Amino acid sequence: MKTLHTIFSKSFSPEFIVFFRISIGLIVLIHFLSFWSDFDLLYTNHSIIPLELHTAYNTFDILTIEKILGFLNGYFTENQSILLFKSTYVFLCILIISGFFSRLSALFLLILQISFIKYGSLFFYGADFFTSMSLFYIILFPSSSFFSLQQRLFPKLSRNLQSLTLCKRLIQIHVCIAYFFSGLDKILGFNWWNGESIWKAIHLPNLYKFVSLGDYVQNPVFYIIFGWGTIIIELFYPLFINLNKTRKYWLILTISMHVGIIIFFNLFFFSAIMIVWNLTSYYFNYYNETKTLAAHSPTVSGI
Amino acid sequence: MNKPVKIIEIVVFTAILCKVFLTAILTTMSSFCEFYEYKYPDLSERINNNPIYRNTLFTYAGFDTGYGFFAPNVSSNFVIVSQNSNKSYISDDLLKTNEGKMRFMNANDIFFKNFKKEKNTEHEKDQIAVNKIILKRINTVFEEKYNSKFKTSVYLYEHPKLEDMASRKEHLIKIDETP
Repeated sequence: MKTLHTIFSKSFSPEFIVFFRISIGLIVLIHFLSFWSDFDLLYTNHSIIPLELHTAYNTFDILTIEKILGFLNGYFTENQSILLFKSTYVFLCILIISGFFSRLSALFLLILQISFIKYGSLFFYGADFFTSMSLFYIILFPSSSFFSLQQRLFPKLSRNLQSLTLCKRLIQIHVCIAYFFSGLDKILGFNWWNGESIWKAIHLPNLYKFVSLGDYVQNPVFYIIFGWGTIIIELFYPLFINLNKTRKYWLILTISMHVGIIIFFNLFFFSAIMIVWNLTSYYFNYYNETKTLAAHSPTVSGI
Repeated sequence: MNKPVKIIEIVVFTAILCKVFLTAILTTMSSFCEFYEYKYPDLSERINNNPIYRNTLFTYAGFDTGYGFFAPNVSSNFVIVSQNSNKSYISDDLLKTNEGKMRFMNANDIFFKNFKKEKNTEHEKDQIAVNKIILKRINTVFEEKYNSKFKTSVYLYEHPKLEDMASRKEHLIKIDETP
């Protein structure tokens, strides 16, 4: 009980929220720009695979891009509507980065993002889910209250009433659950024990790799170690990231794993978001220069 | 610190963590049962269909997904190849950006449905019909792009297992093709 009280009474400085808002805003912006010229072929009436066919596999109770563009088509030409949708998306990212009503901007951006990600559900992947969750946390956290344009222009509207400790603990627990279950799911599959999964993953033809690992390393032992290494990093993340002595090493290991995912699987945006989640949760207030006083207190375990 | 705000925060954050945890458990069970061909427990099915668990807010927040990336098994990929009299093209040729190509290729996973020997439900039969339409549609887009007659086929990509790594021989197993 005392430990629980210690965990939830420790105070945190707001740098982690500022970092989270700006870096997520930037990643979401670059991610969207990275398929700007293909957007029409994926998510509009010009789509190679008509969007209504996606609903044979997944249906969600959401405001769809089809409805949004249909509404805009009442006022603009089809191409203008698509351009307006895309430009609004970019504009909202910029508002989030600058901190100008970032919570409200994140809400509208989330509605736009879900409208095409979940309607064109055959095209989504891990980065999209973590983008949605990140935007939701920008809405939930007092992200406009610190180092933001809103704070400069409307200081009274930007007063923070929320607990930074609860925000920090929420994202920490969430990231621990995510890694633990990611590791658990892997250890349940026997192909992860013998290196076969890693070997198969690096040869998947539908991922565009920077480096084809299979061309350089052909020793099965390497893939077995690689597979078990991934399992251990993920499964024991909740334990070792929360121990003072091992936190730094586990953070480095986890970020290295994501850098590896970028190099060998080219899942840049997924890894970038995960690195941001890691730094937000376990770098800020622990290793940056403005540590909280409580972190030095002998009564606090350092969790 | 404002006490009512803190209480609201505690309630909301607890609800989020419960949802995240429950979704993680249920998706782990689901992928485990699917991979090892066990029956999915009734209780999980009931929770999955519960309107509180499946509400729109969680859909928007992205909390309706699990975390078992590439697990418990790395799925095989399917490759769609379109051919005219001169050349063969992979379906990603229709897009320009790497990110667009990767998203488009994700859709190839739907052809797993074609593997299931018995298509029990009407919904599954509909999905197979949709797969055929998608293949035809890709063929049509190629014909429009290159202004020539095309034939499009979908293949299961099979890479040699780790123990046969020396052979480096890839296999493409044809699953379906346009008429």
